[in-house]
Amino acid sequence: MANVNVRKLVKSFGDATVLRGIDVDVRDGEFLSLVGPSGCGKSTLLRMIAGLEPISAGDIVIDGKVVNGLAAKDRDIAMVFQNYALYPHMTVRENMSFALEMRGLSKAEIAASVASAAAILGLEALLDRYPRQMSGGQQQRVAMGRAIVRDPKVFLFDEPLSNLDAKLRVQMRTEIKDLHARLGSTIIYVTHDQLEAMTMADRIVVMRAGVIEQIGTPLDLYDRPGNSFVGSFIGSPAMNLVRCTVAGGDTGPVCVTAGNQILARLPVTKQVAAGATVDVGIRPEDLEVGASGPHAQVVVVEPTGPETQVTASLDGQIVRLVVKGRSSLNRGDKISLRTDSEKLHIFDAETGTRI
Amino acid sequence: MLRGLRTPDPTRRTENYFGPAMVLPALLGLGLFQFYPLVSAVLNSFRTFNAFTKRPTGWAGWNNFIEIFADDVFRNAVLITLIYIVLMIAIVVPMALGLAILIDKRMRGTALARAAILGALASSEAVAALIWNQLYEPGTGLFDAILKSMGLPEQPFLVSGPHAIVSIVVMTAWKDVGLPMLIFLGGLQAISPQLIEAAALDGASSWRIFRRITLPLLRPSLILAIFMVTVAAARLFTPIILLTQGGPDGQTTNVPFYSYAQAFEFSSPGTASASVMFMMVILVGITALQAFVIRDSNDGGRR
Repeated sequence: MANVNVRKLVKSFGDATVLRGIDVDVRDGEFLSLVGPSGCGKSTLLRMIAGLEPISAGDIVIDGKVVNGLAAKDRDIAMVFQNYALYPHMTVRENMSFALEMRGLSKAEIAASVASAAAILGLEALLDRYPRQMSGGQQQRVAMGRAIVRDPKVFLFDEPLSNLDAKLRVQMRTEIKDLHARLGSTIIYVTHDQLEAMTMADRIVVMRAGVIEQIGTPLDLYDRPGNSFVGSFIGSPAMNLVRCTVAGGDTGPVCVTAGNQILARLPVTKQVAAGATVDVGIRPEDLEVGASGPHAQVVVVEPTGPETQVTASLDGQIVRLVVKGRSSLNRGDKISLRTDSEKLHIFDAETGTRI
Repeated sequence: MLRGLRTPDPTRRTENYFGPAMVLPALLGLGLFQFYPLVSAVLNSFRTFNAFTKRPTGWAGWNNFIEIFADDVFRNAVLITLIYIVLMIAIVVPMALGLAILIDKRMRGTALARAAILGALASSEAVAALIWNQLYEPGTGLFDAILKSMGLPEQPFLVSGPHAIVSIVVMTAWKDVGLPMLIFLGGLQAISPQLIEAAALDGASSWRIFRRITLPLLRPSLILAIFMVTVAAARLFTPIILLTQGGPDGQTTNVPFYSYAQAFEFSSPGTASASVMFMMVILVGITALQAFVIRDSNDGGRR
């Protein structure tokens, strides 16, 4: 167990800079998730912590020690790869023993460690199988077994669930979270799936184009996204961003849509000059069909069972709302939208920054 | 099944002949140029021949075989053939693996090196043998010149028997290393880089990664490469006839060269065929033995 500090980390491949000054502190025992769209640099950051990519500038500190020049094999870090990377010519037992053998442990010590790790993950029955004789979910579990048997300082996960089917993914998500709670280990977990990050992580680092957009607990990011990118990245279905102009109204400033409709009152806490352009962020679950309010036209109705997602066009902009239960709406229906102005997120249209 | 329901298909009748008709040319060619010579070689090894007309004159039973086994030159040729096979495997397989690993690293100059190695493979055996003949030239050849410039004694590269065997093997290794190298390169590139990274994170040094991960995963390539080098070494002929003509004193004569000499110099198709047959049996035995020795004992290498 250890903490990991990343300081002003830069990574360039030739002329292309993929990480531009990353600062993250991962606390001992913390489950930290790195999320962002593909190409944001999250996997590169993980590989640099692992020692698989050289550092262009900055420092990586593990357990108080700068490891910039330290080879991967000397960092005492375990990694679970997206494609599991199990050694195909070795049984599960041999896969799990490999790292301990490299460390020069005795046969008895190895057998004991493998047995206890196998017990934690329920792998006892699979120990003599080869990777190709197992399902994707079982291979995933073995990959984790290979990591925990070493009791490393830090666990790294690189999109470990993306090759599993949806049902298994939900199950493994729970299992990994439970495993973390039991082992209390430091985990850095890369995913492009914000839902995985939201459900599992203690804290989330949202990255885009080589920079960190925001670091915070899942609900922090959900409730107070620092900019419109984080707002629309975290949460599913994604937050609506409606481009509006601020105008003075009878009871205070209001947000006016492109079609000159008043979307909502500007929250009283927000200080925006009249005439300014803003993006109004509204979570789909904070938007409802009301008796009055701006008019929109229903485009698509998607029932999911417990709720119904309605996609509508508001003055040419697409907005989504989540309606509890069943909905009698149909394509083409005219509706009025209602929202609580205290639940709005207001972003500067130019910079995307939260106001 | 459901025959009555099937719509009649006007093309069906012709299709019955279409398939075999398409296979026929290949079958004919194969029969004419592959099976007929093989069968006739088997038959010839049990026949007597007229030395002048080279026409079969009757059946010899096992006499052709008895005759060649009684021949010191043949017994020596079998030994020499085995030496060629052992030397070629010992030199070419590790060299091909080493070169494949270097080329797989994609360092500067890799493209040039690969082109050079494949160039040697593509070049004509006869041209290569002539070039190497000049390199091996006593006194004036490049190798002797290098030795002389370093103050070392000249070497009888093609004149002494043991030297000549090594000289032939070195030339053949230079020329033929490309094919097993390509096999290893393909094998290396089929290994997921994540496996290597996973092993590095597991604390394995480069050597142990090679020994415990790369090499076992290369097993199919290794089997194929050893098989191909064995067959090529057992059939070694052009360099021998061009560099040493089997000499000095038969000391570089292998079975193919012996067969050639029996057939074309001693006009004895019977003993020539018998030696070819014997070599074939030996080759089947050797490759079967290799397959057994390096077989995948736990069947785990298959992906």
